[in-house]
Amino acid sequence: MELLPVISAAAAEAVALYLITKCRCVLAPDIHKAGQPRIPKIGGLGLIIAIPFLWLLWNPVSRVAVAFFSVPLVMGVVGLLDDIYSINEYVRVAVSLGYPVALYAVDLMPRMIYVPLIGRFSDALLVGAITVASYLIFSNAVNMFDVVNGVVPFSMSLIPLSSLVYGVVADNEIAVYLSIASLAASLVLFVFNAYPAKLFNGNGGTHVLGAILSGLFLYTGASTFVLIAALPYIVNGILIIFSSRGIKGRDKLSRPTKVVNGLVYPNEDSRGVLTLVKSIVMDGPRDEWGIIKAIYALFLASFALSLLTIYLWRLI
Amino acid sequence: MRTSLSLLAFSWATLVVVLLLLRFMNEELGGYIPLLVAGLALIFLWAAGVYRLAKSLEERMMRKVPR
Repeated sequence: MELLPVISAAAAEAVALYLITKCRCVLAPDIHKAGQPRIPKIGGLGLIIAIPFLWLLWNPVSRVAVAFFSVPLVMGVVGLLDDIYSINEYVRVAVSLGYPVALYAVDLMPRMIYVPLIGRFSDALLVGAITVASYLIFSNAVNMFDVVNGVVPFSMSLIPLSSLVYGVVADNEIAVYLSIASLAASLVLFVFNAYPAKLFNGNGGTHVLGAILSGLFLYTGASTFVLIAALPYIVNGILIIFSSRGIKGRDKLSRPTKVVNGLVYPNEDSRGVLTLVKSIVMDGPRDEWGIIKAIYALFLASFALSLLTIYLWRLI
Repeated sequence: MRTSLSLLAFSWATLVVVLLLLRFMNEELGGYIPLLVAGLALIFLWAAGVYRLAKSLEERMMRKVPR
């Protein structure tokens, strides 16, 4: 197990994030806190600095490494530029989707995918469709759920544990390395983004973590277990897309919740938009920390379900 | 918490059924195209089922909220 890339990446990311919190640049208000303090929203920069260490000090030329690390890097840079300069939505989508498509077209991505419980697929068209759909779905699903402090890096510290367990059980060294690399990068970000956050992930951070989640799904061989560990993201995405009748920008959706005296309630006037956070406060109003604890509990439960699924997979 | 945990448990249980159905189809159907079509249809039905459960839970809970 190569620990040098992981340790150097974690150290570089920690230093970068510490400097960002000190420089107090590119600020955004934390709307759930009293007085709405302004904190930096470029946490994605820390991940963008960590990825080259994880990639180049491990295996710079293998297809899996190129696909797993270069896509988050490109998506992260685009997201970071969006955080700083608010780039055009079409340019952002074109680069984020175009890059994995181009990489696949020039044969720099693996053309085989193993889906535990279903089977192994090597048809170029089918694998290409799954690859592109995976990047599209996971990066949007992660972005849609970045609504309270710490939730995204917390979940991304749990989900790789699922592929890590699979990697150990199946004796898959690549899965083990990619899981530990993802876990380390997410844990460092979690230290800074945990409630009360010292910085936001920003679009840069959520796009990197969404692409890493896709990479864990596609290249570790643990796709089924990663999907189950990430179920809160998927369920939240399904609820938003079905209830708003299609894919719409956050600014075009009416707020599913309302804040009264620091407590979050379901918004009865939200014209039917449904989210996982709304389903949490449907059982009773909660403050921000209460919502965060509920989301942590959901990810812990989905992680336990992914372990149960690994057990089922071993049985059949 | 009960509503969201119910949703998660339902999603997992039905997803495992969908995966096992796809496993059976992968063994029985010849070629990727029928599997892709069946997979897309099953996943859409699964997502619609998750949404329907969430919607009915929401309607039930909202009836309990005093206006």
